[in-house]
Amino acid sequence: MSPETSPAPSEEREKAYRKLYTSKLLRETMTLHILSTKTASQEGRLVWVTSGFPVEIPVAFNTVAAYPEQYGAIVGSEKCGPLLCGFAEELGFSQELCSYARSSIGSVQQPEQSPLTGLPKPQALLACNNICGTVLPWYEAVSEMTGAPVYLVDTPPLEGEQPPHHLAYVKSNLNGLIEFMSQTFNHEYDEKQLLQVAKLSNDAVNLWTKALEACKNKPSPLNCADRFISMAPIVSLRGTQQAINFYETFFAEVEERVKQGIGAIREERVRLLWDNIPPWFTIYDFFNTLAKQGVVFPADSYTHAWSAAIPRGEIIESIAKVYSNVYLNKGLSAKIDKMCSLIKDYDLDGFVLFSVRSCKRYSIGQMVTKEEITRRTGVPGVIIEGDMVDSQQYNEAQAKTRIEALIEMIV
Amino acid sequence: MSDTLSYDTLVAERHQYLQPLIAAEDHIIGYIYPHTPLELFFAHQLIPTLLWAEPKIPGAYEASLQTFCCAYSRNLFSQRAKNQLTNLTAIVFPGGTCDSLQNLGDVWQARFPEDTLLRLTYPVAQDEAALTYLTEELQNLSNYIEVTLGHKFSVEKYNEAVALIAEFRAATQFITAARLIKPECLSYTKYTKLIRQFLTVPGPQALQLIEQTAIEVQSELRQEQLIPSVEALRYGLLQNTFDDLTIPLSKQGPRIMVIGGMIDPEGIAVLFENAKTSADIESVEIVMDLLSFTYRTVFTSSPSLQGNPFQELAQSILSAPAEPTQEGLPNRLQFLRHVFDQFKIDGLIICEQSFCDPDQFEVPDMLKLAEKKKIFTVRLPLDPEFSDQARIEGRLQSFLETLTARR
Ligand code: SF4
Ligand code: SF4
Repeated sequence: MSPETSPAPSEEREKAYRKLYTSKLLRETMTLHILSTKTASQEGRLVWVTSGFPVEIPVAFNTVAAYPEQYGAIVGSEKCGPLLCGFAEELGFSQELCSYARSSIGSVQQPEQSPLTGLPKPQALLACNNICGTVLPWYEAVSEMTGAPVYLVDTPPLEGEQPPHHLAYVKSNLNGLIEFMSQTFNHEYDEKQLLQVAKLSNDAVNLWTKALEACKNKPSPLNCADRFISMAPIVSLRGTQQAINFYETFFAEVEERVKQGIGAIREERVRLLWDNIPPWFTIYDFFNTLAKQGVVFPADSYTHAWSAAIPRGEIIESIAKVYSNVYLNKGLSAKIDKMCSLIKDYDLDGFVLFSVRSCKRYSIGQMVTKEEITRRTGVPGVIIEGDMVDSQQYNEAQAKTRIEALIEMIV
Repeated sequence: MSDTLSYDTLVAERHQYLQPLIAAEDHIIGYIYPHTPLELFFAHQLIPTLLWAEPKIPGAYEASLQTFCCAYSRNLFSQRAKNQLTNLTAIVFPGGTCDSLQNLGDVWQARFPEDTLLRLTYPVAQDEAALTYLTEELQNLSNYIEVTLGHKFSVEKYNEAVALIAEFRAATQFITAARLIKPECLSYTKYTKLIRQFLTVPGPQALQLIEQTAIEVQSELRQEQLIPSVEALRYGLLQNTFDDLTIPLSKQGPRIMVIGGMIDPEGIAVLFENAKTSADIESVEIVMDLLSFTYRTVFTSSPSLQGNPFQELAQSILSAPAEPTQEGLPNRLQFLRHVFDQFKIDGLIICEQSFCDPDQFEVPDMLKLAEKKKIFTVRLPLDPEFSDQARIEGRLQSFLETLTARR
């Protein structure tokens, strides 16, 4: 499919930020996905999964996956985080807990007051703790409310290389998942189907990775908000043809921008790295305001988490390897290494660490990270504080002042 | 009215317990997570001591940890930053338990590269695969200690340690079961002090105090022919099969239970005693707690001396009553249901450590269950230093007054 061409810079001189044509296709793709989750729920084959879950397995069982974290992003963008988190707090969940968890629990409690009337009712809750330990108690709490059973793929945190006993343990968890899926959905496991899904997943991941890597170009064809919005299919439709269809078009547009020297923002003066989930409730305002000052974010540590393809080999072992080795599961030094290499490879001038109050796993350690990255790369960085969904915990003025100070250091 | 007790005094006492070890230049290792295999460290001629929050420690974490890191982790970090943990040969950091502790280990290593950190990563599940995994983790940890600290694994020391800790558990389990039947036989304050003393310096001296107390409790209960019931209950609690026992509970005042995770039981005892004194209510007593460092530590099965020590240790750890950091909320709720019914609980104190995800996720379901069972509850947001002692005691006092009036 050939993309519509992005406009030349002169046509859009008045705008600091260039919209992607693919956003229309993205909307359509995600709308169809939402409809398919509703149908799947009615047909008794909807699973809720965490973002780092080996989704290829449930997809191979003909179930449809809905992602509460992605729903959290919608809640945030719709600016109803405080309302939904408040419903969870009324049930007794502390305000200190992850706001994705709180907003999802709040939406289960009060669907009629939630965007899209909440996620459709799940038949199973599938969690993988390669992103954090919060996902288990969160899903267990939802299980108490919905009656859907929880299956946990346990990937204990790794230090360095994955030892054989760790791999064996994760494999055993995946085999347990297959058994759980067979029983819960009365569907036989078919390895051929899983191989096919894994191939589709890899194709989408490869396209997504190529689009991310295209941002090494100057000007960068994508800004942070572009990647955060466009990552929706790689998270929720990995392993399906729809994801490939979307990313083919998306990547073609990115390539076209590169070929024509069109950047994501009008005038690229400062290239920064973004760390962590974005403040969804102000995602456009935040990045577009900075775009007006010539600040672009060609890379971030978050959307790159979906850039590892399933390696060749025995399929369960390959899945176990790729999902255990997510860098979030490998401790602070792996994350620092990753961020340093992004700074080098994408030729970045500085970095912004978003300290997300309710996401401990991703955020605790950022003070050390900041010092270490500057020591190793020589570029400056700042930490800004807030939350991804709960706008009450975000101080816009403080964030602006800190980023302005950073820009002054660079320019 | 007697003087109020202070949490700071308790902590000062703990320092005294450790003094002889420090003077003798013993190798002490600190640990944080309740299900640390103490026997393994003894086998390597290391003495494991449970670390705890220091009151009045100046905050020295701000340049390294955000305020939303759990308060317990922040306190430990501050202690280290202020050089108050200098007598430790190493610290055991658990992996795979909670996000705060996981990241704390990384930050600690980055800030204090000269410290020896021992990592033991736990599986969340409790099945066969988890057993194999944990066995290997323990074996690797043992090898690492040999290489890093030069302390060889001694079978003789291991056997001694298994016996020591098994005796500690047996005596404490007996006292726990006895207190459930007749809480007046030993105050919660004394009970928690004995356990804490052992966990601070696990050795024959602390064990002797517990065994002596168990003998005294035994002789008191023997007169009332309660020993068979205590033993049956102890066994039932170990096997989680106590729900159909007939238990002769003594008919004193309201029976209180405490739940929470890594909360200092001795601290809770102090607050409770002070609140009792202020409310001028004598008959009310904490009959049971499900905190990590009391019930969950005590009712873990000890490793058998037959078989591979690492596998036996792994089996022992996995036999611990489930923590809020582990899989299985439905099981924990089911257990609680049985406890509420069997032990005629009237009041429930729910402790929540500040910024502790595992504690805070459990609370709503516990509250719901207690409400269903018509159990009166109080929710206590705590920091590990009990810095807000007066306010918490005030809250407990009104809880006790209302509870007594309701009865
Ligand atoms: S705690 Fe962080 S990583 Fe975990 S679900 Fe919440 S936002 Fe995601
Ligand atoms: S379980 Fe809770 S108190 Fe313990 S270290 Fe983790 S967050 Fe802190």
